Amino acid sequence: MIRSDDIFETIRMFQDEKLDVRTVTLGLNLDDCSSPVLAQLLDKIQAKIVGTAGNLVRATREVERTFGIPVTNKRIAVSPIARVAAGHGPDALVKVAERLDTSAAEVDVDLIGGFSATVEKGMTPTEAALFTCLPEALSVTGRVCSALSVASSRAGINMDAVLRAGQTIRDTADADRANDGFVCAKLVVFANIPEDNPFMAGAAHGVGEADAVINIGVSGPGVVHRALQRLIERAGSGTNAAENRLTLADIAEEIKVTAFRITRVGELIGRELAQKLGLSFGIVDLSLAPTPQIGDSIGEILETMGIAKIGESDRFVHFGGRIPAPLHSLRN
Amino acid sequence: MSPPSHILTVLTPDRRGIIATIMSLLDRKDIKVMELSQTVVRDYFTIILVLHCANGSVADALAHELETALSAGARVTLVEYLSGRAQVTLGERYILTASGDASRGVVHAFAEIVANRGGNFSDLSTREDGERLTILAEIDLPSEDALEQLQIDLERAGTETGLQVRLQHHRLFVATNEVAFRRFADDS
Repeated sequence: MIRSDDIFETIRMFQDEKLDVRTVTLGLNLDDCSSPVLAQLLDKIQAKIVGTAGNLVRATREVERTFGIPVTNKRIAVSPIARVAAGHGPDALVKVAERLDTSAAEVDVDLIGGFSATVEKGMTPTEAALFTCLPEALSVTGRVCSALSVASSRAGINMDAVLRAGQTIRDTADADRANDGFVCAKLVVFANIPEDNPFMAGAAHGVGEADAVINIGVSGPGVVHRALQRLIERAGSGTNAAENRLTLADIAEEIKVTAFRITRVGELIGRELAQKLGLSFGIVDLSLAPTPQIGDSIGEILETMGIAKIGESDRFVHFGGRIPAPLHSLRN
Repeated sequence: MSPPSHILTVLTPDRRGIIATIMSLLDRKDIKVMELSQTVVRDYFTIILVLHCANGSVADALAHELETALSAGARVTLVEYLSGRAQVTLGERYILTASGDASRGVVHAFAEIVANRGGNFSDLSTREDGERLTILAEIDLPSEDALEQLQIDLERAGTETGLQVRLQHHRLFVATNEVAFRRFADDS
């Protein structure tokens, strides 16, 4: 039997704290699409994406309806394209990006990640070609995202790759000058890239993953922030202030319970969706990244816990205390 | 397993020892309790018990003896258990919650809506605390189509009554409140 206050606690996460599942991301292995013939490579990529993800959006909407939980984004993360398209040059890689884009549009997902290269120890000719083609590939596509892994704790930092990544960011911004270089929001440079990251622009389907797997991203800071505020209010409303004084253990307990609930929402959606699609369920990523919504930030959690000020919010004073619109987009 | 033979209900002002009194009498009469549910609503104790009583003549006197044992103010009923009479809605279980300013007829309105969409209340509690009303219900729904329609109807009723209404799948609350993750609806 579920206690009524536990039921209302869960309801509050959706009703007042706007908890949602930020992303459902289908991780998809494209290694079996490799071909030295470009046309075959492109067709195999499209066939695999459409064949596996054709029902992703419909099934996600069904799960949203059943559980009454909104899913903000539906996405695909494919194997790093520099590996899938090994042996091809920059022009061919742009064609691959375009085919990824049209395939993503065909299955109606928001974004497709994995136009990526993993170069923390060295760079193959195709990985070098991917760096070269990125400004054009990202500019001519709408949904394609790219992640460049240039360092890891085990291998160290590939400084040549860091230099090329820096140049690539500048060139990509230049290629999208008309939009203030906004296309760079689809490009991420990583150290220690996760193999199963569901969040964009850094999502890619790494080595060691199943052929197709459902990964879930949930956003936590807003709900944790409000849970802590309520805890503090409850403690402050008692008659005996000394008895009600919160300890770090009380705060840790509240964060633990809230994080459990948020993560379980993601797990429920992920398992249900994987079952519907006949795929494996992968992971739930509880994001601490801020969103443009007020209060949805790890910094505000720390401030609620008693830290005087986090970050560089003074900078925003010049904008009347509000974050300018272009920065909203980059922080989402 | 012995089949149920009677349903016993008791309503009485709450005090210590009521369950002990009931169980003591049932034990003395060798009546087996197969299932029970008990709660206290606004200081009133209520209990419903499903019994197996091998000797029908023993059961006949049970209600009167129990009223005497529980003292004045207790209301006891005993009816024969009729199997196969329930018309249960098969389907998925949902939790309905509503909260807001109390007004007459709200529960009636929600109950009508649920019934019209083929839903069946398996558990319902309401509480009026001053001006504020809280409704919490478990509802079994026959289909996904019924869910969609019911959500639309409840949303409209919520707007009209000023109550915040939500209808969400039972498994959501199991997932967010129980440590073990249940993969299937009947995995309890």
